[in-house]
Amino acid sequence: MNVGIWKQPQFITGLIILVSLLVASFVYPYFFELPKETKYLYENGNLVDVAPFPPSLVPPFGTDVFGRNLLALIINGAKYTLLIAFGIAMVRVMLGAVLAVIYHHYHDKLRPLFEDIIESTLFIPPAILGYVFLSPLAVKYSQENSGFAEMVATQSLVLILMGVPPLVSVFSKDMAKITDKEHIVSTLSLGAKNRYVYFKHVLPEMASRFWLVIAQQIIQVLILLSHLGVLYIFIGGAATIIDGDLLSAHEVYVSLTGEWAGLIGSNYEAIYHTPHIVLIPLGFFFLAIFSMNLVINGIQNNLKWSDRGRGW
Amino acid sequence: MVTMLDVKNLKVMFHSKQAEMVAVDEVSFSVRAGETVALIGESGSGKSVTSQAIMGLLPDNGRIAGGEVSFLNQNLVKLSEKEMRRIRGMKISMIFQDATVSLNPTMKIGKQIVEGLHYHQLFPKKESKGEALRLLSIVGFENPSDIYHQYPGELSGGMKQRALIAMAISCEPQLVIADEPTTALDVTIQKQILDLMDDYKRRTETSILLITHDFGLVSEYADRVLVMYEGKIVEAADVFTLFRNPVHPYTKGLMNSIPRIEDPRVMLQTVRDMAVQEGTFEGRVFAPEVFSKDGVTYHAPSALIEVEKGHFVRFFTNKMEVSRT
Repeated sequence: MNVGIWKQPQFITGLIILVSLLVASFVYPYFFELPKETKYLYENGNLVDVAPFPPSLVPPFGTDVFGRNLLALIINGAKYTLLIAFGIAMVRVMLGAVLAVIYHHYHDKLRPLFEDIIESTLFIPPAILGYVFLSPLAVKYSQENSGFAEMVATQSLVLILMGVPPLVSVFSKDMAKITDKEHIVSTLSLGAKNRYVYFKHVLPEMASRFWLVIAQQIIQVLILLSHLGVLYIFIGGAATIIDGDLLSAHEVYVSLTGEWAGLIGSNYEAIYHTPHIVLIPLGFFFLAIFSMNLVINGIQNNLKWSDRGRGW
Repeated sequence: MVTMLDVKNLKVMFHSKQAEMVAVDEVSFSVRAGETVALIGESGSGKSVTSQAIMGLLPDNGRIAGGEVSFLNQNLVKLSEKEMRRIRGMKISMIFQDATVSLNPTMKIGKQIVEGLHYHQLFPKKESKGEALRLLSIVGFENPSDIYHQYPGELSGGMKQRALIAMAISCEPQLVIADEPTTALDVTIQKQILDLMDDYKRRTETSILLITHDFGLVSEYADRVLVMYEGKIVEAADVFTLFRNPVHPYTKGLMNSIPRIEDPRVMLQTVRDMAVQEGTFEGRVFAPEVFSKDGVTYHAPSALIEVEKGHFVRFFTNKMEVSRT
């Protein structure tokens, strides 16, 4: 990506929204206390209301089923949600690019078989695949009481590996197009090694494309996380809380990180009577995805301008 | 004179899913030190494939099916990829047809020029910029330091071609293969580029294999000419002999298709017109290797025949002889 990207209003708008969310999330704990559970609201000693409280009572977004301020939860969870999505997307693309070099260069004969396998897996909803791989892990870690970092790393690794094969296929096709170009033959005619060609010509030429794919992958991961949240798979694991009264006690799973998917998942059953608890975190997912789309459009516009400027 | 390049019976084949086809068949020629040899023929005649085979840069579906490519008595066909990389750029380099696509649009000119120097470690990285500026001034840039920092898209076609030449001569190769180096340029720039190459050749005793389809360029810059048709060399001679006495109908066809300024009203002859005329001799259209007429199969001579000193023609003698089987 070149400096022209900073002249793209869509890119800047999207980036400002995302960075604002992240900054707010990191700064928030220094100025405010993390929201506490407030299940019952009393007025003059009389019980007035039970959580979740509506936005009219606790502005601007009301509370979750435990009476915690939803805005505070969302701001606090933004850093986990966005950074985990960014990290997974980033590693997916990096790993995909490295494997694509190897795949494109060495495995010409295996390519049709690999492509067929990849194409067939694209029809399986990623949320189902994610659930299949991550639910046994969630059980294992809850039983073994493993560390938080280990849990996040393992879950992220699974989500990374799920997304790498299609990227290897896409990147290797892009590489094939670039290596067929005459300027690559020209470089080889000067005595260049294949490794040099990939690192100095092919990968730099794909750099803008990598940023674009990272942005697309962030959206994919955000969507996947929101789906997994509904299936009670939370990044960082979940705590089980017994909620309700003696007559109707039930288990509620609460995300340990407070990421947005966890908010959706732990409050999902409240969607019928207090839909705002689910719709507001979903709205923030929408905002993050919308911002990423702005970033993507900005990158694409910049790519078009760069192409014209270089006379392609 | 030392023979730089000696190609003997080179055969190149390409395969598709259905079949394998011969692109270059039994091609033999040599290039001596300080000599410009032109390989001329229409599109698809196998000129560029011959150059790719010499460089060991055939596409994935191509292979050298036979023959030898000797460079200073070293058979390039038998060298490993690693050994070939030491030859490419350093001893044999290539100038491509269209500089617009032969230069990396995302990389500055200066960086591309020093690439060859870096691969072959001829200059320390710190000194390579100075060398690049020197090369840019050799190829006629008056402001090399500006050009060094520019992207290919910022240069005109002629300037890009000069940059490409600077890349090709960066390691001072002994043989430069110029694959239609002026096709994408207008006539005045063509002359500048070829004069530049010719001047460089004379100063450094470099050999040039000039691949072209333009007889005008051949007459002015080449010492010897090889005419290629359908993967075979059909005529080879020094430039004066060939223009004085073209023998093969294909060569005649190519020459007659050039417009003559002194006789503008005459309809231009196509290569096919020539074929029809020559075809009156025993029904041969450029004399294929095997042909049938009136139920009889004829085998034409398959080797180049020396019709006069240093003038070789394939499948054609003055008596139009063929052997009857």
